[in-house]
Amino acid sequence: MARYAMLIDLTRCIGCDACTVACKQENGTPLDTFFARVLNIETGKYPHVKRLYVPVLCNHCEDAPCLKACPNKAIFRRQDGIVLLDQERCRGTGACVSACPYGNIILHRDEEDWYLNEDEPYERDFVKPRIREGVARKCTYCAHRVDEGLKPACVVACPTTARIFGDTEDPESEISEYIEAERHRGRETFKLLPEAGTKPGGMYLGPMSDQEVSTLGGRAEVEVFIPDDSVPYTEWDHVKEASK
Amino acid sequence: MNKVFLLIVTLLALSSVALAQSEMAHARTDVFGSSSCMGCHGTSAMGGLGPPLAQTKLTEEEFVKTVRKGKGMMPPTPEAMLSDQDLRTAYAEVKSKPWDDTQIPLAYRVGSMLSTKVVARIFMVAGILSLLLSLWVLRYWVKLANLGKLRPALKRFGVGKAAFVFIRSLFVDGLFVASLWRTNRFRWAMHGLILYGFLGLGLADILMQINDPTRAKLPMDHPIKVFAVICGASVISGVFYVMFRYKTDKYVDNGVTLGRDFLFVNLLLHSIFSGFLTLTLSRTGAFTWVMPVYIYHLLTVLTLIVSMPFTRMNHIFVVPVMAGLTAVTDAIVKSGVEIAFDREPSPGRHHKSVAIAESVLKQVDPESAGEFRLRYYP
Repeated sequence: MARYAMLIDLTRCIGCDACTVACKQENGTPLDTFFARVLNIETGKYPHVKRLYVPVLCNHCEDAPCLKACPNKAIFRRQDGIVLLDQERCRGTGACVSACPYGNIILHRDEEDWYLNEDEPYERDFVKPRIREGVARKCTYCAHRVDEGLKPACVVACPTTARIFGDTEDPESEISEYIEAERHRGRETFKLLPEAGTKPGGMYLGPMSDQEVSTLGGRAEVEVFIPDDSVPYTEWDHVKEASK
Repeated sequence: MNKVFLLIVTLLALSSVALAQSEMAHARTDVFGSSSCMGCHGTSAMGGLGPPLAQTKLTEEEFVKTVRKGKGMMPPTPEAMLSDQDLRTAYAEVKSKPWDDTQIPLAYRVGSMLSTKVVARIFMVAGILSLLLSLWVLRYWVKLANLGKLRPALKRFGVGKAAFVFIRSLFVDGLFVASLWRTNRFRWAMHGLILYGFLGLGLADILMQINDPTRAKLPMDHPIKVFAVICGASVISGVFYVMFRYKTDKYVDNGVTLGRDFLFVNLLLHSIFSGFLTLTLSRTGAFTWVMPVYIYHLLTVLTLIVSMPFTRMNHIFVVPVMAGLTAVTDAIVKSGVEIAFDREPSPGRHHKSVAIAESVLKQVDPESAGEFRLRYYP
């Protein structure tokens, strides 16, 4: 069986929030509801400051605590590893919200603020049947798109292809090959909050510190990592040419 | 399910046979054998549900007093049912019966160990053990909520105020099950049958203990008994509804908790049903079966209590606590002491994001892990 997961390469993320917006558009989430968001982390003191963008979304954990916390069995895990929340069964108890160590379950009990006017076909026919008011909701890995063979909206929207989505159990898939290629370069994937013991599906590849890219600090030249020739990565060819 | 019914039907059939036998014995041979004494104390007075009486060490006066007033599970016998003279004859009979160790039934051997005190002690130990295990399990859940990162905001918000919000949520979201009340009244009622029935059974148990510490058999029309029977019936009908839903619900298996669900529901069914069966058997006179069924009842209740933190029954403390924590974080966010959001649809998202940021920085940039801030844009 498949095990869908997402790999986010932090080296590539430029913090443009295109994923955030694409997700909102695809799912039609109301005001203040974000399934995908980007954390803007500032470190250091002026003038030695750095900024790190960490896109976060539901990790579709293997040992999902939200699923175990739900008293209504509204949250379940599909065979392909996608954790879904059935809005019809959800009673809005709120146990899952605290149980998720990543804060990726959204429960808004007050009245929603929608973007469009009443009776706009987009929200009326497409969004509201899927996003109910007063109950919990979360990222679905765009299961409705994945089922049709498409990639999640945030993945498609990413301008730097920082997000790679696919089946980690299939060694031929894009995500598996990417992980393998990066392993050859000495970069290992890591997961968020491993100490929580949730076995998340979402993976990350470390950014800056490998490359020491700090153009804002006044260092104009960028150290480029020259990849191993044995790894088939044609995108790097022009970089190699330039650095000769 | 079928096995359960089979067991119950078999037990009922056997109990009616026992009942018929005890009636047949009424062919007045002697007082001990022809009265209801034999039902509990055995045909050769070597005990059954009650203790052996052969070669009894009781004096005649003690013997008479015990029969007239009752003791423990033994009901009092008025003069209308057994005359003083017959009683004295019965005493002489049991006093002269030979002592025969091989005749002591197994159920009595076990039953004689189960004095009220011993049972109370076992259940006290089980209760404390269950409580400790629950706290241990709860640690896992509270860790997930990441309260450590919330602590500064909690202080600004006021610990007392937060405690009030938490306790109010325990009552409203936990005890009253407000979320079900809001969304589906029928489900609320079905859930209430089990929840309030179970609480009622606990209360009835405490009342019985207060009413009479030796726990002598209560008459069926005693208010506490009536209350206990209503509560038990309420739980069992709720459990049957859950069983019915298992058959019809396509979501019965969420891929993780099915086994723990079944364990909880079946243990609950067995313990309540065996409780009712004990009651029925002891009232129909099938005394031979009372003790085995009663022991089974005690064992299932004991298993239910001890396994509680690990079966789905743990939702009785996990869900209220987690919902309570959500209510607290929600209140903190709305009060604006944590970070100046207008509103936060995922309560606690900010302090969890801080934890994520710390975790990521530890991985990719350990030097700056200690000093960072999350920047939000309007």
